[in-house]
Amino acid sequence: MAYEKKQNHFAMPRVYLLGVLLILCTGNLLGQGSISGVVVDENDEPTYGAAVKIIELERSALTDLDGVFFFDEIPEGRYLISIESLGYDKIVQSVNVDSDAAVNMGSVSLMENIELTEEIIVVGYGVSKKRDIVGAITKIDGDDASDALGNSFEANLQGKAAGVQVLQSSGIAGSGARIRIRGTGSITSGGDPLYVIDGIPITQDPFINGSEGGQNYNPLSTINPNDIESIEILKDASAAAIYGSRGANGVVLITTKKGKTKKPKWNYNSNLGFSGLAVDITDDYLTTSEWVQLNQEAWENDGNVGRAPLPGGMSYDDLPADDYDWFDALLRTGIKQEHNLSVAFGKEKVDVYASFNYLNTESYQVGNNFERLAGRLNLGYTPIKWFNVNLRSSLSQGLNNRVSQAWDGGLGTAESTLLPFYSVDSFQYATGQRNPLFKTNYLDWNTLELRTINNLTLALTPVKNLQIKAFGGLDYMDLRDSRLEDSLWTLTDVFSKLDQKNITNYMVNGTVDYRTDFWENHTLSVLGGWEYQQSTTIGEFTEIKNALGHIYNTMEVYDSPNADTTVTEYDDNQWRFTSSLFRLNYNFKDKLIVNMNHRIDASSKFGKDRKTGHFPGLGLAYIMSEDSWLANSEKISFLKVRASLGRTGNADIPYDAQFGGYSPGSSSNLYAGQPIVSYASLPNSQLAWETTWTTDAGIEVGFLRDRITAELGYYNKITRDAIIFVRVPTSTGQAGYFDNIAQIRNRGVEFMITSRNLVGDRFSWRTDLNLTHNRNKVIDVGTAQPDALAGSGDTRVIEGMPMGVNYVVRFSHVDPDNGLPVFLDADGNETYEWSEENRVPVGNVQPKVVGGLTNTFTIGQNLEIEILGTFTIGGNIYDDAAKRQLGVWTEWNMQRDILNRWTGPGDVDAIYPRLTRNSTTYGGMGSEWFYNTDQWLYNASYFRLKKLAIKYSLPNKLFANKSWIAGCDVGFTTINLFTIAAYRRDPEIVRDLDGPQAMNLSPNVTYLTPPQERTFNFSVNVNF
Amino acid sequence: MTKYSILFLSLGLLWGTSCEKLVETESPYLDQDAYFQNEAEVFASLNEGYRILAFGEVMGGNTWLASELMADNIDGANLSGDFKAYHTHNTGIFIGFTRGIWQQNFAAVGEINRLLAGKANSNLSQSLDDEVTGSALFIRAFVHFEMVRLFAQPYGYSSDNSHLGIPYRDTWSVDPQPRLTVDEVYTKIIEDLTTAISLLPSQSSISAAHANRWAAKALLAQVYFQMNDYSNAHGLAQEIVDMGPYALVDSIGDRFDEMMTIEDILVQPDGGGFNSGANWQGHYRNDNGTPTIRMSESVYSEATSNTLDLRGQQWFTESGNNIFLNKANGSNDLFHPVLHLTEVLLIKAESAAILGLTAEAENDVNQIIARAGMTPVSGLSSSDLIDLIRTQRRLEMVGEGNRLHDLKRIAVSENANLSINGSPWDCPGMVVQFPDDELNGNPGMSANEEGGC
Repeated sequence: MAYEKKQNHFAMPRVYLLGVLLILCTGNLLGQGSISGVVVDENDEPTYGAAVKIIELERSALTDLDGVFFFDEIPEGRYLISIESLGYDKIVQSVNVDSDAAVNMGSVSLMENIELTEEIIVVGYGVSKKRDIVGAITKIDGDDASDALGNSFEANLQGKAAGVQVLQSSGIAGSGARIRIRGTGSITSGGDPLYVIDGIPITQDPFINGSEGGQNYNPLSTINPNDIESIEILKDASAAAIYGSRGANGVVLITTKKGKTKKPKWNYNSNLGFSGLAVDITDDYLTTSEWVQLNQEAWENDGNVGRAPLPGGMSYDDLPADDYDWFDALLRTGIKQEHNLSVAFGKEKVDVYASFNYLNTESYQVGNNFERLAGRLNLGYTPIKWFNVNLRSSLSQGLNNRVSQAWDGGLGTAESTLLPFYSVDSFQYATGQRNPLFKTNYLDWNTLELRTINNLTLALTPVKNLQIKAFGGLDYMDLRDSRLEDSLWTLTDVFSKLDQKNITNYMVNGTVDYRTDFWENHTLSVLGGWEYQQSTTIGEFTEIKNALGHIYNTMEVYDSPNADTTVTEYDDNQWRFTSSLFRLNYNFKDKLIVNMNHRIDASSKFGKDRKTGHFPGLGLAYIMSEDSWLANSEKISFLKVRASLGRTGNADIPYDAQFGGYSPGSSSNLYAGQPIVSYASLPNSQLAWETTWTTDAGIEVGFLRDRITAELGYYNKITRDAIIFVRVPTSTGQAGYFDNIAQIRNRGVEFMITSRNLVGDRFSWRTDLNLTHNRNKVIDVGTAQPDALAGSGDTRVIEGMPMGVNYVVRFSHVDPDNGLPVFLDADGNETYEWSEENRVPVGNVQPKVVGGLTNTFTIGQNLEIEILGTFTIGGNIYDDAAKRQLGVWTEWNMQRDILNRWTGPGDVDAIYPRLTRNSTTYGGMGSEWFYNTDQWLYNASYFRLKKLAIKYSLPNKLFANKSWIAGCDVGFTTINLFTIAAYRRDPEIVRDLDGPQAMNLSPNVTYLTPPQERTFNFSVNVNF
Repeated sequence: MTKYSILFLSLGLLWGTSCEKLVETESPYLDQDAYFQNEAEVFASLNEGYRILAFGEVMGGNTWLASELMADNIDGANLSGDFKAYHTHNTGIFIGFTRGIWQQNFAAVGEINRLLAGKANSNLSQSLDDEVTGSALFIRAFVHFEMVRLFAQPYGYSSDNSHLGIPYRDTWSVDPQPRLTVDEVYTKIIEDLTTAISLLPSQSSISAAHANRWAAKALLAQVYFQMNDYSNAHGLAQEIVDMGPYALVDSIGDRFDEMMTIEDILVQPDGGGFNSGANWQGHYRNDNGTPTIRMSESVYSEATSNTLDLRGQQWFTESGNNIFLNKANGSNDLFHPVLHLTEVLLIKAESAAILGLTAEAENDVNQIIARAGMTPVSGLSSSDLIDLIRTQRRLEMVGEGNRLHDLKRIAVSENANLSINGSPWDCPGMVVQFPDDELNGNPGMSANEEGGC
């Protein structure tokens, strides 16, 4: 196909002007000419960084931001000029240079080469070519962010990037994922990466709404994954240091789409999906007859005679003939649907991307769904050559119909307190326990989030290669957690409760970016900037007795007679950062690259004695394949070594963590009608960021013209000054204060390989594999005792051990003679006594390897099959509910495995001790809750078919006569189709947690945590 | 060179302006030196001390329940979790119930210790300063007395009381404090109360819900009584009965009311956003649901052994296999008596009987018996009289957190083989284990021995 060359309206006059300027600046040496020109792409956009070479003179230059190149001091003659830019076909043109002549080649157009498109990587405050990256940055294509229908985008990063561990919390609709980049370096403060959308660090706190509900509310769920162009994960310090005191846990940069093509591209995407349990747990529990039989056994084991009492004094005559199926009552097939419409185009002065998204995703649990409405408008406008305005704006609403914690009326009750002889139709049972189905019906609970994330960038290019940018961003969130509690449930009055938070998070920054080429082969870019960010949360809690509707539905509330309103305002919560940032990038011959970052952060979060921190980063890369000895290698097409060192921080602490003392006038409480004063926690004016020093080294290699590319990385992260909550004796009336005390090391190896195994028109096959091995070790926790830093499931922070190690008593065996459990004391001697003093660090909280394996097959022109498997090798899961489901006999249902209990003297095969209804039968067991032992540690290894996606593009000939349609594909995707695991329940777990410390310490702890979803999705995607 | 000038000028501007001013934040809080500047601030702190005493974890319910759970007034059959661990005398360090009791009781002490340390700048008049100091010392003694009885073996467990007690928090500091011996703890309690008696007025100038001199005396009488020092206990009780402005209410049903009663020496009021007795009521009441706590057969049979006994009739409900305590039924807005004449009279009666003042003892206990609807007694032998008074004490104050301490007091002086709920009174598990969060902040502190009951 012939390419019709077009006049470049922008570039031409500019080139003349530039030519004149350049001649004035440099002088035109007598007898020598010059060559200049503009390199543009197929859309006539200037191409930055194209390599222009004068072959005969062995001279080269790179084009600037405007695509302009210039050579002077060119002797008279005829030259071959080659122009190369990765991702484009190489162009060679010949030029005659006469004496003293300034030759302008005009605008040279490159043609995109699909095979070789050079990836552009978004880095903090700018972009870079992939080959120029000196640090560890993983880019994930936006298409991968919307994989699993209904999941928030971050969950879809699972298995895609080495060094990034993603655990989707559960199958509850709207739940988030726990992401750890290169291990966990924080204990008490948040360990999540920093999320930056189009330049703004957004509001992301997973505990924004406390720890209530089947899963913690996820503030990332209102972001439309379909809008995402790319996600870059900054892993090492040379990359993340530009984010200073907030970069230590890694940075996730999200870039939304922009219009690129002249012709508007419309896209409509529709999904329909069905959800069920990823791992079947419904047959793991006792039937009525089994339960009654074992209840009797426990009763008689305890020396009692006659029939054992049933829960709440129930009569045996009341036992139903058939079991009630509580799983069936609480589960359903969730139906999911999503519609996404977008349009994108880019003309000379304007580029536009707009989208509209509707999602309604039901989970498998009755009464639980998440609904999202989201719109986006991204606009770029370049009225004049040296000035550009860019607006990115989204408005979304998320409505999450919530369910209670698994153990408090959620699915977990079917695994615990709901016995199969409790009627699904009864309101309450003899024990006083109530039917969770009624709770779902009579407690109407939803969380409504209104969110808008916007930014405006003004970019000015006053002189060549110098760009000045002014940026303003606003992330506003209105979060309303609303409950309507029917009097049929409260048994007193109707209560309507609204917990409302408004978070205004804004940021302004100014940056200056300059690039210069000098001494032929040297390029230097510098970036400097200043930034201010402020986030303010205001909120209040309203409770109305006798309201007739949700409080946000004011009509219903105003119409409520007898309404009795109480409003409690929350303290205003505000934090601020002010920062200076600096980056220097040096490039020699496209071969040696040096990158230096430095950021200075001061924050209101830091104590008055330590306000300001410095965060430098330095990275080096050497592209060896540019060296002559490798340049012509048949086998090795690319070889880069890189190393970096830097210091980053973590400031994910409460805005007021440093403060404490008397708070006069803050309390409206009275004692005997008289005012009181409240005393808040203890202050620490020294409190500051956590500091992490990271060294990173890597090698990137391409074989066989990059058909196989691989990357091997090593890192060593030492976190000093990790914040812990320092305990004081509670006989002071206080619990403690935050201080920078602990030291943690994360060390690991990452490996990624991409191989195009088969390349062809009829069939191609590509394999992507990534593996991560991380070792975490707590080096120092000051004087903190093991129990001072605890997470869920008896996890602890203990010097010399990995963070979150389980600290429990070791179970040895069941004594065959008397059926009693035999434990090990701290020295390893057998004992019948369970005692807190016999607890030791046990188990292996860290997997050896986590990874993802993707195989993509393209068959013919139309069919694509993608198979993603995620896996974990090694590590343990702690089943925190097993102590009840396999322990002392109570009014809980039990795991079927309890059938392997001791049955009489000489039972040498017993896995579990003699049944008893009396906890003290087992030595030292004060109550049924004490029974924490390493018997509840299970192997965490698993392989999961995370995704199987089949996409069929309808043949183009079908649309030959329909000019309005450009293409259409249909797809079928299943998520979590099957799981091969050693553990009986879902091996991928994050339970409902109560704060950042539990989140850091207690992944892989389950307490009746609902499994992941298995979904089957059908999609239609139309381009027109 | 223009571009370089622009570049470096801009960079310089940006670089130099990392202004800390923008992120300076005033602490919204004041330390105690800055806070206490006038009378109102002193009162607010003192009020907060008393308010904490009324919290659910403290006098609002749980501190009483802790001792009841370990003794014989409560039926353990349907208990689970923390309550079960208490009832079976197997408390460990991870009992949430204990954490709350320990920290909140001491939060009241922390509050008044800061007050005592900081009040010098607030220009109180001498009389107010005396009353505030006395009132604060009352709280300090009150909490330590409750805590030493729960977390250590009783007074008299060792002959010189050199067995370990609890830390005594008598200054404001976040530093760890060692456990003192029980002897040292009681000495400090008596010191604080003696000072409080000397400083407090006979009628509080602050409110009826703040301690006055009589309250400090009533508490000191309890302390001596617990120490088996019946002569001092008797002296103080007699003083209160004879000279104090209190009288028994006419009917047992009036002891817990929506207002202060004539027999209340210290009461915690309801209102101002909280219900002082809500937790206590919540544990027992059976008029709006099924409570967790069921009463034991032994206390029920004692209450119903005399069919005339109004307590048996009014304070208990038998329903199926369960016995419920009705004492906490009724209004949501009960004032919560902490010290009352009924107890003082029973201290006086028992002390008198032990001291051989039989006629006085009979007269005292007959007031209680008559109010309970039964026929007064006369001419009983000394030991029968003592037994009768002790039974009255058990019934009259059932659910009020005395039973465990009474049994231990009696065991110390009279019955070394006494067992409580099937466990020896002096076995290690008969003492509550310290909560993990105290031990975490106080690594040098020795925990109690566990189990062994």
